[in-house]
Amino acid sequence: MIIVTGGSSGLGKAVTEDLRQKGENVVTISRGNNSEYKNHFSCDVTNYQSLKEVYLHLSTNGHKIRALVNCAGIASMNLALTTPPLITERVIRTNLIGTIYTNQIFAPLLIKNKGGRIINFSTIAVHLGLKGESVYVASKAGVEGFSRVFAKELAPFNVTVNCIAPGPIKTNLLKGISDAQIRNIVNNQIISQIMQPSAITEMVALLLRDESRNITGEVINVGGI
Amino acid sequence: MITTQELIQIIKDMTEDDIDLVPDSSLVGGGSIIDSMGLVQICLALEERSQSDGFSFDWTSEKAMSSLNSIFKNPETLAQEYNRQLLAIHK
Repeated sequence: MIIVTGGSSGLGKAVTEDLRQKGENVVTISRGNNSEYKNHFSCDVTNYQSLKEVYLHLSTNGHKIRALVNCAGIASMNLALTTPPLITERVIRTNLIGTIYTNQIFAPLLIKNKGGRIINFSTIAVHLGLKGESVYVASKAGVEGFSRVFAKELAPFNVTVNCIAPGPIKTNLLKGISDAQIRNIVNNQIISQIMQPSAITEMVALLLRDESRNITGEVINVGGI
Repeated sequence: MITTQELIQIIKDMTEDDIDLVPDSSLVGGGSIIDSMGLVQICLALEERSQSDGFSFDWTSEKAMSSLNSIFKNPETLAQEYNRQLLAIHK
């Protein structure tokens, strides 16, 4: 089984559907009540206790989890000086703390399964230091730092931890970003084009393969930087 | 309930080497004969056992973390924490 957080929309939904098409048994976790999915848990990744309940359910029912894909995330594009504290807190809580919680809580399931993969999501904006994305970039830079250290802590258990850092992908997260801003970001990529969600689902599939067992602690910038 | 001797046996069963473990042997810190990987495995083993005892051993609770040293200090303190959680759930 593979756990996907944020699996009801955007990249998470694309990842979930791609994995299902490949015949994987996927457990989705998202805030929405997504009854279209068989193994869905309605849960906010910032709620530690709710996540723990999902863990206990999966653990006590003997589910074998081989991967965790953390797609849950929110974006907010503002100058740092004009970002309200509530937005700052929401972005950090969801993107950084939510990722830390899910990693902490579900990693033992991978350890019990004698190994597995954790894939967290960053953004190409971390490397590019994009103006107007300071809080978002701060949250994702935290995810990268956490992932690198967690990779070391989980290496003895045959669990790899990596980050995928996409550039602009055609999802709702791009709402509020002008075409000029998107072009600016894309122009900084080696492959200067707006990626489709399939570019990410392919990267996830690649990291899940057995041949990727020695790739860990890495940040993979999709499109290249 | 778990006795300290049972806990010591669980730890011994997990480690490949024949380690000399007594109730007050350090489980964390410089003098510990268990590494961080071993500590995680002990926690998972206790969680597995706790499920058969009708609860889930929580080694990450605020209470557990605030007294991290005492819980993981040695097999005796760890067994005490396990039994404390067990009794709390069956109150």
